[in-house]
Formats: sequence, C-alpha cells, structure tokens
Amino acid sequence: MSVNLIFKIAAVGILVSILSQVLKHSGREEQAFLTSLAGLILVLFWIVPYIYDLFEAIKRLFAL
Amino acid sequence: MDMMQIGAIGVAGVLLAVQFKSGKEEYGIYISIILSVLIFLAVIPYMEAIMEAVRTIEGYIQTDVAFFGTLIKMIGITYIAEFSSGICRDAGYQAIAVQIEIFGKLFVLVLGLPVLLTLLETIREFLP
Repeated sequence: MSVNLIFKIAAVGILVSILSQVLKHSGREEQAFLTSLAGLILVLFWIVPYIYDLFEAIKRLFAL
Repeated sequence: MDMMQIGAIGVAGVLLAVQFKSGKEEYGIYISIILSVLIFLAVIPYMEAIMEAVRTIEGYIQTDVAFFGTLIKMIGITYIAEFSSGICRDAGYQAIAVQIEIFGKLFVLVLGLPVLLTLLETIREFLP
C-alpha cells in the first residue's frame, strides 16, 4: 500500500521529465507543459485521498 | 509497522526524491508529502494507545475544567501546524511556513486562555 505508492509517484515523475525533454527537443513546448500538467494531476489524484485520511484521523484522534 | 520499516521507507523515498532535484522539483515535494503522510498514518495506532492512557489518567483526577481535552487538542493543532509548515519550508516558501506557525501558536494560546484564567482565579482566592 504505502511503498508502491512512492514508487508510482517516482515513476510518473521520471516518465514526465523524459517526455517533456523529448517534446522540448522536438520543438513542441506546449505539449511538454501539458504532459507535466497531466503528471501533476495524476499524482495529486493519488495523494489527496491519503492527505484526507490523515486529517480525518487527526480530527478523530485529537477531538478537534 | 515497526521502526525498521519506517526507516527503510523514509530512506527509499528520500533517495527517489533526490533524483528530481535537478529536473522536476515538484515531484520531490510530492514524494516528501506522501512520505510524511504515510509515516504519520503508521503512527496512529500507537497514538490511540497514548490517548487511552491519558483518558484513564484523566479519570483518576476529578477536575471540573476539561484540561486534558484542551491539552490533546493543542497537541493535534501543533502537529498539523508543524506538518504543513514543514512541507511549505521543504518547497522553499519560508514566508508561508512562518505564517502557518504563527497561526498555530496563536490558536494554541487562545485555547490555553481559559486554563490560565482558572489558574489566576484560584490564586486570587488565596490572597486576602
């Protein structure tokens, strides 16, 4: 659960940086920006539920 | 989730995050965010045991004012303030981190005011 999430994020990061390099060198700046944006949204899509769980747990634990 | 696993996951994540120092900074920050979230999610069962102990201690001392409740709330608020300001500092935005910390401190101060007032009340009763 936890470890492969880290590796997934790292994989997306490496993939996006390679893709954007390739697109930059082939002259397509916008596509490079779009791929990094897509990578950002994908990683956020994975991270947000975890952060939500964390804050829910803190609220429950500390009776906030 | 014993200590070895936590240490291993932390070091593995940092090694991965360092890869992104040159090219894409933001992925390093994502990895540090998800790592701190996961490590805290691993510590929650132990925190629940501590909370149970605190509640039993609270049971022994019959105080009308809910000191322990405020104490636990303060711990939670301090933790969230530290967590978010640390992430902002990692990302390189010191000003926002300082703002979050100031807000956390003031909020804890406000929470502590009733306790302070009850203390002063009791002291005033002793004086002539």
